[in-house]
Amino acid sequence: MTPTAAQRRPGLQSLVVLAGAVGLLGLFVVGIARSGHWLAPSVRLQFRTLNAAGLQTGMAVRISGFSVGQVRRILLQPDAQVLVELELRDPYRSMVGRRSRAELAQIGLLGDSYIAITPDPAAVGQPPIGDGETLVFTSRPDLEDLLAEVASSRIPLQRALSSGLNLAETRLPRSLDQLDQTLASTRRLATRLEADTQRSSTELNRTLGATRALAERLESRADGTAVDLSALIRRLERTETETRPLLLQTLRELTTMAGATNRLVKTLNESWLFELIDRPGEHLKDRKP
Amino acid sequence: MGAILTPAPMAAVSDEPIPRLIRRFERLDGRLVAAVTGTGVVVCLGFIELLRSPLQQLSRLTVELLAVRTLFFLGPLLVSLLLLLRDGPLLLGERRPLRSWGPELLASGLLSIVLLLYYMAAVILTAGLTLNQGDVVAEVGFLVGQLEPARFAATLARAGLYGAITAAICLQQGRHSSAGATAMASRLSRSFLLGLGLLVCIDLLWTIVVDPLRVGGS
Repeated sequence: MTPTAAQRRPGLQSLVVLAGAVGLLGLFVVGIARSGHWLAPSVRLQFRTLNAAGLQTGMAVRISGFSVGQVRRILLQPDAQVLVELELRDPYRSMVGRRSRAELAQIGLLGDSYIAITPDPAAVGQPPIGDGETLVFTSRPDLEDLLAEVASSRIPLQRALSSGLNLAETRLPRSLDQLDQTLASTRRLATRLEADTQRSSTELNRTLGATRALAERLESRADGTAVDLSALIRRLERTETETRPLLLQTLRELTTMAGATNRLVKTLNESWLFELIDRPGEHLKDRKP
Repeated sequence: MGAILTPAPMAAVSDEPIPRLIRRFERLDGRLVAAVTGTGVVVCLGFIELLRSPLQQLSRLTVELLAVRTLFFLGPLLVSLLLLLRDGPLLLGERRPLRSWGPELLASGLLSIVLLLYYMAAVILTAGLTLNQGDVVAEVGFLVGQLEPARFAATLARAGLYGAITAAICLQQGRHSSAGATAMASRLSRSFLLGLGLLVCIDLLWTIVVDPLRVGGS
């Protein structure tokens, strides 16, 4: 290997390694910037409190448990109040309104503390909260106060517990006995109901079978009757067709016969024979001169 | 490690600051980066295993974050000592007056920062790959996102400072000694021990004094 080549190779390697380091630095910076939302537009809000205990720069700001920003600065003012500046990411600005409140909250009992901002439903559709506006801070109950309250409520709680225990000792066994009896009778009732249901279901099945058979029989009968009826109708139609000319002829003959009879009756009526029947002997008077 | 302990050719030595800087950076090669990256991978794997066994009740992310943060704290010390092992013979061979140490200190500081970046990448990737549950990219992105900017900058600054300190120790040792292989080995050993002790003391001071005041509050 020549000295020139030996000098060039490390140079190229060094450049590659340096470029890699610069790339890694860029990746780290971009990752940190993305995580910290450095590039996202944000709005600054603030609140004042009398006690900075529990507040920390960089702690999360949450709305409904969702991280929407962080605490930027905590300053002690000349009037001994603590000014806390928050940075709220712009997309969540519309959820915060004049009636929103900030409070110090904690994830679980041992989790991180954060600033919780209550959303203002009236802010939806209204002009968004302005940069630098002040929120109302609600301090949460102090742990010592809570412990004192718990201590003060210990005796009533103990009394209530002992009375509850007494009650349980006296009434609970009886209630359990009654519950056992009720359960036993319920079980008996259920057994009986089950048997009845089984019996009823058998009878119902039988009835349904008989009804089905009857229906099938009726269906077959109806089919046969319908066939007979249609055959009868057809026969009647044929008979009517056959007898109609005869009937017409008979009617015509009857008409003719009725006409002839009428004429005969009229002739007879006008003849002397009837007069003889009505006034016997009168025809003889006329013949006497 | 034999390659790391190889001294630079004496013919390349120059008194100009820029060529001296370039000469130092030309020694930055793949083997050194591989040594640093391998160190990061191994210590991260070992640390995670140590954490995971007795602390099984802790969540996966807790173990990862603990490993990454702890190893980032140790990173400047580790890479500076590796750089001392690599460039110590070169620096010990130079007998320079105090006022001309500047380029060597600057180069050692910058090289230490460069190596630290590779070490950090190795630690984060190892932590992300060891305990990942499917989405490696998201997990690595999450771990990078958990780096606090102030702490990250402080770690880089410490690496630069430690690199410069180790270079200064080597240059100091090189001024007062005689030539010869045994003397060189002895100076290197003394430099390493001195550097290790000094850096550990500085780490201790950093932990007790500087970190809680300037970085811990953020």
